[in-house]
Amino acid sequence: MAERAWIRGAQQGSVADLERLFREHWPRAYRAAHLVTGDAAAAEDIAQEAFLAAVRNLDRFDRSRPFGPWLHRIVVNRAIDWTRARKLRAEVELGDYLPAAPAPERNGSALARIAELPAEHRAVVVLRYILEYTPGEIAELLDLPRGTVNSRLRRGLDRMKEDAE
Amino acid sequence: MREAERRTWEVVKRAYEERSPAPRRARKPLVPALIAVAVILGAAIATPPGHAVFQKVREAVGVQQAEPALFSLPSSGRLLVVSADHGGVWLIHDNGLKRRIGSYTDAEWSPHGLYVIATTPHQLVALDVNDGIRWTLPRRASWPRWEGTRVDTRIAYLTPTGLRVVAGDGTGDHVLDRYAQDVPPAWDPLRLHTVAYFSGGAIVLRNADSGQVVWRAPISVLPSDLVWSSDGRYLAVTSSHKVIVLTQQGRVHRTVTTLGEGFVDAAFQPRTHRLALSIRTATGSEVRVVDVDHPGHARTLFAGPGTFGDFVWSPDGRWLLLAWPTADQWLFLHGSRVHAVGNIKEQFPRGDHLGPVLQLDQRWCCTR
Repeated sequence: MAERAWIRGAQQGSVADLERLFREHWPRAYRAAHLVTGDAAAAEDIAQEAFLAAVRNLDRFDRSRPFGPWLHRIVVNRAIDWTRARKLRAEVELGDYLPAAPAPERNGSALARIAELPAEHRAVVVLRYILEYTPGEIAELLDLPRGTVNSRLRRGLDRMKEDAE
Repeated sequence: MREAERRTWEVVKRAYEERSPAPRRARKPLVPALIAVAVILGAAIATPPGHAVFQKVREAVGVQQAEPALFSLPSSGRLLVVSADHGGVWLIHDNGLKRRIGSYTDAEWSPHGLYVIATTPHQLVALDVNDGIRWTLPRRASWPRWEGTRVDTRIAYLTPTGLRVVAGDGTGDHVLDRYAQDVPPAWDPLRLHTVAYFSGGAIVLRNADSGQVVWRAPISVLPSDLVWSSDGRYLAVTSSHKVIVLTQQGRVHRTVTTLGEGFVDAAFQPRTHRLALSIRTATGSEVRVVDVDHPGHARTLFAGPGTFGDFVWSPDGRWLLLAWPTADQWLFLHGSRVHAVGNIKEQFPRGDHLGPVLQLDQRWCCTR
């Protein structure tokens, strides 16, 4: 499998293999971060930090495991933290001092409706329907019980349907 | 998104190139030293017999071909070095001459480098480094910070009973905020006699003479330091895991976070909006430079095993001086250039057997 070869090459010092790995995984990592945070700059920071973490841990990475889930685990958890922190700041009424969060485009698309979900629901919906992980894999990625993942998926989808109606 | 991808790839590639082993690549002179250290350290620690060589290897961490002593500073200006825990304060001239100026616990330059404000456990002391003490105040002071014009200056400092301000001639000492917390205050470079500090869960910008609050920005972190850009447009509020960059109006401009890593130090490069960040990682330490005007446009300036200490920009912004206690070295960094000076412990002796902990932050000042 090409990915394993790229990881092995990167571990042995090949910039070209690292770049292949990066180009393969960047779009989905950035997109996941963007969908969860709703903020392009934050998404860029989060995706970048995830890749830097990958570089730092490259030598210890187990080549028998897929790279994507490992990366997405960092990206999505970090994106949830970022979204919670922003929400927390908003709750202490910093309106005079903080710029308002950019409002998601309400164009009725599925992506716009995802942006309306709470961060935790948004994360599982993104992982399930954008990154196409199974509920079991999502449970493992986010350290959640499988039932919690299922209920968040269900509630998330219900809410998206309500928004669409 | 293409632009974000391009920026991120540059950062990732650079971090990859500067990490330790890269066996197939042509290496910079710096890299082999780090490789050897990383590999041998692992072997040495893993096996009991390896303990014998461990100390030797540890002593070998650092940049090869370091100068054995500090012969000169690469840019003009003078540097104050505070050796913490009773090690005293040292003055270094740009020609490399240095001397210990006293047993002070802290010291900072006046805004034009004419004087120094220092502390002892019981006094705030203003001194001329050539002519001696000008005045003293009996205060248990910490974090003294001096600002102003050539004819009208103020010194902010913290005491156990809050933030106080005194004029540069030692008169008019008064409490500005009795609830200010133990975070170094930072004078606004644009608004005269106006100081930023942490109080009641918020960063407060306040005029030290009138007491008028310019703005108050509640923040969700416990700050460790406040750092203005030299043009006063941004104030970076650093904490262990997050740096919040505020605008001059107290609004959040940008937040820089890490993934389970810790920020150690931060400093804006003079006359730019590039913020250098010293970061403790799982495997060592890094200095990254983040352009706060361009999110995501970060680059790693230097990375190495062990712990980095303080850093400070030269007054002209060309060089970053980084203390690297693990390697017993100081590094002068300028782009990809690394100029190393070794044997730092020997050059700042304490009079006991303890290694010095040297503070440099904001202490490389203008020429006289």
